[in-house]
Amino acid sequence: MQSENKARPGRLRILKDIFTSPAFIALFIVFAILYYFFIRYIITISSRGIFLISVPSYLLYLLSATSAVLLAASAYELRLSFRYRALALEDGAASVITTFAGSLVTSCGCSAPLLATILYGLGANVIGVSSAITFIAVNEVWLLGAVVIINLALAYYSLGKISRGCAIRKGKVVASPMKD
Amino acid sequence: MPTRNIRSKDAALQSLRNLTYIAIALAIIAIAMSGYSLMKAGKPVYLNRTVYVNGTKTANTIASYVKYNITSSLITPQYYLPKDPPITNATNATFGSTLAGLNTQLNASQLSIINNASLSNYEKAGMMYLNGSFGTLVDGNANNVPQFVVNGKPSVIYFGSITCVFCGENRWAMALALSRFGNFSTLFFGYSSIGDHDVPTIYWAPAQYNESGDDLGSFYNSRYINFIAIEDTDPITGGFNLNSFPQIRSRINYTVNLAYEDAISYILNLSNVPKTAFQGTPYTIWGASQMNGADSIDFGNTTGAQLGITTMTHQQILNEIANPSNQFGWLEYAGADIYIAMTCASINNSAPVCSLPAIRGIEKQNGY
Repeated sequence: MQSENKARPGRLRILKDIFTSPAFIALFIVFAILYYFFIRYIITISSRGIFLISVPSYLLYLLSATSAVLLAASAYELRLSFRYRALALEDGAASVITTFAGSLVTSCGCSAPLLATILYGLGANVIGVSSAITFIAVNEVWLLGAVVIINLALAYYSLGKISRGCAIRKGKVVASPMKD
Repeated sequence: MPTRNIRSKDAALQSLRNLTYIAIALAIIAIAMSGYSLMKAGKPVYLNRTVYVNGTKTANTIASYVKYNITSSLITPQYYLPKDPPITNATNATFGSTLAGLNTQLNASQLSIINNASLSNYEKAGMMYLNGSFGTLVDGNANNVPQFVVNGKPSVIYFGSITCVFCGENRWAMALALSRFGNFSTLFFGYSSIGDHDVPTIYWAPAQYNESGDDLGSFYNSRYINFIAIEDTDPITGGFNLNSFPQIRSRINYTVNLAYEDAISYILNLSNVPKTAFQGTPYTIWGASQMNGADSIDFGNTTGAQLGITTMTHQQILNEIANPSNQFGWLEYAGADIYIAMTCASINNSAPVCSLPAIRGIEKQNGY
């Protein structure tokens, strides 16, 4: 048991495994691009067809990249074992949710039809909606930074989950059955 | 590893999983509701309510909008604000972060470009809109609402912010529209906030650009309509910011002006119905038509990293309005045409501009 514990890969080992695999690198790149265009789409439909942002562009790139990392981790979990399918789905869903949340934050300006519609749909009144729009617009950069940090935290947590469920056998990371 | 630790970890994992599923479900519900709301179009929804009059149940369909028909003076603002003087020097003339000319009045020839714009420009731009030349850059969708009548005339109500980029780009088109029904004795040069793209624009009154406030009124006169302008303000050097509705209402109530008090109440009343609910600035009502957001998006002939309009001076914009030669200029008139058509429909087409074929066509196409 002790030798098995020593053989458990760390988070960095998992990350290295992901980003030395051509398939996962390709997946990361594809989804980073897809997420970036998804963010652009959300912003554009909120701004009547104009890609209008008041935050530094690099934050959008960071958001796309960190969401793609989360998605790559979930794909890695799936590949390891179908036993981890539910966990993998959580991470995949989380990456979509954080990307959407980041897009809503970035699309929020003096005119925020998408965000307003969602808030009204959730039961907010006009005072709540206008306050929310203003709060988000004023604190856009910080909120977007927070979403990026959430992505990084979720990725760290996800890698930890994978690590606890794996072992290194003959130099490869494999799923290791959990003991009851 | 002790069994108890593994079981508690499994329990924590299960809790997290459940939370995630709940979050996903809420997100899906919210997206579905927003999609449904976005897809709704056409006439407003009238709420079914049972009304008791003198203890007797009567007709049970009542419009959820309140109607206004009042008698009131309108607010005429000050020409000069000591705490927010005109910025006449151009020392900080870097496009995108300039305030050159802020709060200065348009001179006579500049004002004439707005007040005496050629009817042929409106007609040509209107035809371009009807032919689909502007694509999604012009949106004529509006919601039918009761007219806000003051002193026997329907009203145009504008609620916006000096810090807002969309208000900034759309005031040019609004001014062109209003000038067909009346006259501006003065307008003021302005900008959207530096943090919100610093778009050169015009203000209806000198702006409190250094502090949080609300600029009320304009120097507009018309025998057809009232123009009720509510312009929220915050420091222009920041980004977009909007004061809370209770705060705005409180400031307006302080003026003890019935037209403005009722106008803000009217906007809040309209916001109880999803289709006409406030979604950001600008929020305008043109007679019997309410519009969320700007009707046209005109940021110049180039967009992208830097909006074209932010590289133009006020004079260059006026020159293009005086003699439109590219998309930017024509789009301003097309945006004005939409507003004109809404207003014409509310005044039984009694103004000369209403007889333009393009305006009639827009009224018919958009169902005003």
